[in-house]
Amino acid sequence: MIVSSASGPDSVARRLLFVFRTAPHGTIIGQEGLDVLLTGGAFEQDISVLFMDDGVYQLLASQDASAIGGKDYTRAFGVLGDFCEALQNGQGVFVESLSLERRAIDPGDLSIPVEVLGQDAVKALFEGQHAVLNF
Amino acid sequence: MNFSVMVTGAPHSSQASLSAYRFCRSACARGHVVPRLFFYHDGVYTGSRLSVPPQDETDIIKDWADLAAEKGIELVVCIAASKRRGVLDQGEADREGLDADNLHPQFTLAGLGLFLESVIECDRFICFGA
Repeated sequence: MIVSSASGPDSVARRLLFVFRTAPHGTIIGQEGLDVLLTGGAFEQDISVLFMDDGVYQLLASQDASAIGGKDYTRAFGVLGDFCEALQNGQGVFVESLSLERRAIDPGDLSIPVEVLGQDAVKALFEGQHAVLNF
Repeated sequence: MNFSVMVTGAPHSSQASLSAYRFCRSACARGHVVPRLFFYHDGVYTGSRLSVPPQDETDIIKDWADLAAEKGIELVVCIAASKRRGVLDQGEADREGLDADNLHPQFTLAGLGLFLESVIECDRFICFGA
C-alpha cells in the first residue's frame, strides 16, 4: 500500500469529508467508498465521515449479509475511531439527525459512537473542507 | 487551478462520463489543469478497449482517449474495482491465469493511493457519479 506524506501547501493536512449516502448491499458503492476511506487513513490528513440519507444503514449494528450472498464489510467501519480524531478541528464521525428520524433509527442502534448533527451543523461541516467525497 | 477528477458512472449507461468529459474540456480551454482522471466503481468500464457503441451515439471512450492525448492527461482506472469488473491489462491477466486482457492502451491501472494523492495535492476535487 502506498503511504505518502503528500499534503497541501505549507505541509498542512487537508480537511477531507467522506459522505456515505447509500444503503449497503444493494449496490457496492458504499463498500468501495469504505475502501477509499480506509486508504485515506494512511495519509495523515484531517478526515471526517458523515452518514446521511440511506447511508445511515451502513452503520446499523448486527448486520448479516450472508443470506443474500453479501460481504459483511460494514464491520470495517469500526476502525473509524482510530483515525478520525473526534472533536479536533471540528472533524469526526457524524450522522445527520433527520436521516435517522425518518428511518426510525436510534443512535444506539448504530455499530459505532457518532455525533448526531442537525442540518445547520451539516452545512457548516461541508464548508471549509478541501474535498468532499460522496459514496 | 489544478483539478482532481473522479468518474464513478459507467460509460454509455450513465451521463456521468460525458459530463466529466465536458467539464475537463472546458476547464482545459480556460487554462486550468487536469493532470489525471481517476475512474472508480462502475467508471472502470471506461478502460475497456472493446467497446463498440452504435455509430449514432457518442463514443465517450474514444473522446477520453483523444482528450488525454491532446492535453497530456493521465487516464487511470482503479485496479481493485477494475479486476472485479473484468477490465485487466496484460500483466494482471497473466498474474490471474486469464487468457485475455482488455485494457485500453491509453489507460493505466493503479491503486487508490494514487487517487488520494491527487485529492490532497489538487486545488479542487470534483466527482461525477452515476
